[in-house]
Amino acid sequence: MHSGSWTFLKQYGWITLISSVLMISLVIMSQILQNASSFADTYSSLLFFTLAGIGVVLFVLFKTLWTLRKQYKRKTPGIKITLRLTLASTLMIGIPTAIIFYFSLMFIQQGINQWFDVKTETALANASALVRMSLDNSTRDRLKLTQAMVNEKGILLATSPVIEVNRLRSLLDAQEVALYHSNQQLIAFSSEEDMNILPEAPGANLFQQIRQKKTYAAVETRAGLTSDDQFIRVIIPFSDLDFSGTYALQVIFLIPQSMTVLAESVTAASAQYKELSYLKGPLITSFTLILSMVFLLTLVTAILFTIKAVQNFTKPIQTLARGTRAVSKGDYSVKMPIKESDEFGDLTQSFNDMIQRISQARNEIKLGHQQTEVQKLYLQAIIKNLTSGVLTLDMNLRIRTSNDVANQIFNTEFSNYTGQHFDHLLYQDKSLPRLVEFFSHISPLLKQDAKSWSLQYEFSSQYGQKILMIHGSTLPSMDKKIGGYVIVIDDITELVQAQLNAAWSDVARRLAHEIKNPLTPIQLSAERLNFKLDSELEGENRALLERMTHTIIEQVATMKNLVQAFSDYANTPEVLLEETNLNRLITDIAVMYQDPVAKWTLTLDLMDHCPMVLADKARLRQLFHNLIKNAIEATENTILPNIQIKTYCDDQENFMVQVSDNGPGIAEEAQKWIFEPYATDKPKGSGLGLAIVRKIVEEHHGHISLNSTPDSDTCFIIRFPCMTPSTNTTNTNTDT
Amino acid sequence: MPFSPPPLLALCLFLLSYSNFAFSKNAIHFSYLKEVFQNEQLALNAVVDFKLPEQVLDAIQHDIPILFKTEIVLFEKRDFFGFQIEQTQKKIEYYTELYAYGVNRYYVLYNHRNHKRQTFPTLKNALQTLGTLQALPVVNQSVLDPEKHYFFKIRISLDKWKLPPPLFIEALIETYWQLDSDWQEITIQLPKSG
Repeated sequence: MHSGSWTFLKQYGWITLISSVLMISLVIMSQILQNASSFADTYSSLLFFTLAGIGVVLFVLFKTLWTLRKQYKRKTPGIKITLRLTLASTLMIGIPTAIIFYFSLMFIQQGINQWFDVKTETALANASALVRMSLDNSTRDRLKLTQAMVNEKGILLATSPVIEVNRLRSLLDAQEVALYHSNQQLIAFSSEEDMNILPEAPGANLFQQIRQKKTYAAVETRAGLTSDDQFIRVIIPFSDLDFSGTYALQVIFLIPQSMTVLAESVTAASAQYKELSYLKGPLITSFTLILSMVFLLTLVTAILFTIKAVQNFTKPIQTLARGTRAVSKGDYSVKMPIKESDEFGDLTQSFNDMIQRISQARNEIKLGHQQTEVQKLYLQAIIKNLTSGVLTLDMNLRIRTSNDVANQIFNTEFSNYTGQHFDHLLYQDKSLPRLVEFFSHISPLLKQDAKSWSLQYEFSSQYGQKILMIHGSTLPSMDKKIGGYVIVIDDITELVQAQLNAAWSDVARRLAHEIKNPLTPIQLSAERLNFKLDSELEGENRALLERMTHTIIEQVATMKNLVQAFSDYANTPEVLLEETNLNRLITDIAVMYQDPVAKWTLTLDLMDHCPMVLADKARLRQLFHNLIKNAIEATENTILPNIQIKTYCDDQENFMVQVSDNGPGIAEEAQKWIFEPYATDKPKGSGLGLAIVRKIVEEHHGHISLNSTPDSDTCFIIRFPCMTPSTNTTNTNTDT
Repeated sequence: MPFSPPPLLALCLFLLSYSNFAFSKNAIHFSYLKEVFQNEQLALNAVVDFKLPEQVLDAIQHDIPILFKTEIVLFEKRDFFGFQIEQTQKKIEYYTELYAYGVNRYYVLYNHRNHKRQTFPTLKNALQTLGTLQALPVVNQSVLDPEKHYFFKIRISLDKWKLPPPLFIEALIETYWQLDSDWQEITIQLPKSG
């Protein structure tokens, strides 16, 4: 079967079938009402069947309408147009059908009423009366004739009944003559037909009449071969001579066939007219009912057809709406089925193509985005793992990205300021004065259109001065949103320091080598000179010689000490790290300086539960001696000099030692070179004390910083890394 | 214009009437009912009075054939583990058609069971004959057990399903077409054997 036909049957088949069957049923009912009596027995069944069928169709209609209502509430795509078209179609079909129904009803009622009129009824009544009169006359004549014959032949009938009944039949021209006794016993009979068949006896009621000596004459009917035969039955009661018995003579006169046919036609017409006349009201009711059912069935079927047709019409719209909704939810894999080969089918196909292309483009964008993300992550990983700090700014000098090294160098979490304008940061956040200074320094370089630039910058951090090598570059881009600046920061403090240390060590070594060698001959020469000339000179000359040689020997000794200091600075011994309680070490050292006679006071503020530190005790002793001596020297002119050593932990990883004095403080300019060799403003001293201190601190992977302002206290803060469970607790030689 | 109820109203009326099962009371009434034993047969004598409503008489006068259904059921009472049960022994059902005929307005009774037709000059005669059951044989006496108990049920009703189709709706709605004698019951007194 063709798919279109199958689809049609599938969608409309059941309703077509039901409607057709019900229509056929209604037609048959209508025919039965119009005197198709052969199917009369099925009328009630058909009526109930049709009513049930219409009930089913109505149920289907209500169910469909209910479904439409639910779809309307759910706002199913296409439901509004379905309802609108259904309503319009219902009105278009319903109004003409209702008009036709009304006029049909009128015609039926008028038509049935017009079947009957007075003239016809009177004519039929007159015809019946005429036939009746004719038959009555005939019956009366037959009765009189038979009565006359019985009066004449009554005695003979009683004495020789067999002969007389035959004779009477001939004389009366009757079909049958039968003689009965009043006790219903048949005595004799004569028939023009088969004599072997006994005549039909009168009924008991007639014999009752006979016994009462009453005659009987009437037209009766009996079933014939082809049709009912009418005959005149005449019964005459009589008695014999001695009145010993009562007899009844029954004579059957056959009414002529021509007369019977005429009478039958009149009778049938009259009977039919009467029947129809009586059934006029019920007929109108029945036809009205059938017409109403036809109207209802037609209307309901039309509405159901319309709804189905409109639903089929709007199905592609629903399909497209469903697809659009899926796409709006982000499902681009949807592919709508194409069931129609019309314009809606083309539209659905175009929709599918469009979605496919969008999906393809979206996938490409997604892939590109993923690749970009991968590249971004790759770059971020690179930047994160760089040993240099990286800061990126957009074209509007807003911070975009930073890596951990940058955060570490500046001791600031730049991610907290991501997206903030560069200048904003400068003026809004005053808690970052050094950072503000840094940005102020590089800001002019960023604003100029230099392709790339480099800069060495000394940054004062919480843990001291850092020497930074800063490289800046403008990111090339056509779009301002994408472009910006990249700033690469290298902390070259250690490198520079190492270079300085190496240089100073070399200088110290050379000085020691070049100066130390001639010092001994100078000293020996001065001593010899004093020894040789002391005896030869007298007076002032002798005193001068002695004073001069003493000065030479003294200065040589001083120079030897200086050379030894340089030598010590240049020759760094290996440090032997061991688990050390710094509090105890500091206490041991402090005892040496706590002289009640001394001008100064040394106070300790040591934390409880001091963590262990890996340290070379000998080197640390030198460190603390240097710092304490430095403090004592710095407070020489202070009225009540006080030196304080304080220990604490800034976190779980670092042990802090703070050596402070209440001396005059260190000038801001001097703070920059205070840890450099030969950097001293004292009249005495080698200028290596603090340089050695810093060197020892660095040998212990610590950090020293100075917190001092002129005319205020001076505070050296040393940070040592604490021991952790993973730290090797055995004696370790570390690189210096 | 004659009144024609709307179809839905007609349907409602039909359902209403059909649920009520209203009948014209005493239209068919048994005035005598007795069993007789005659010629080794259990027979039935009955006299039924017919007081047909005007509308039904009018229909007969207008040549509408009316069918009366006569149902006779013979039951045997049995004791089944203490429960009284009734078992049908014999069931007789036949239709008798009453109609007016001919120019002389004879009234004909046609028995559909034995196809016997009787003509009467008046409707009263016809109804008398219809209502007279004289020695109507039901069952052979030999099949009846004297030790058991039997009873009859008889009912005569107008069969509205056999009315002409146009009258069908009216017959369903109107009570004057609901003619039924309802079941009449008599217990049979079996003659003592020997």
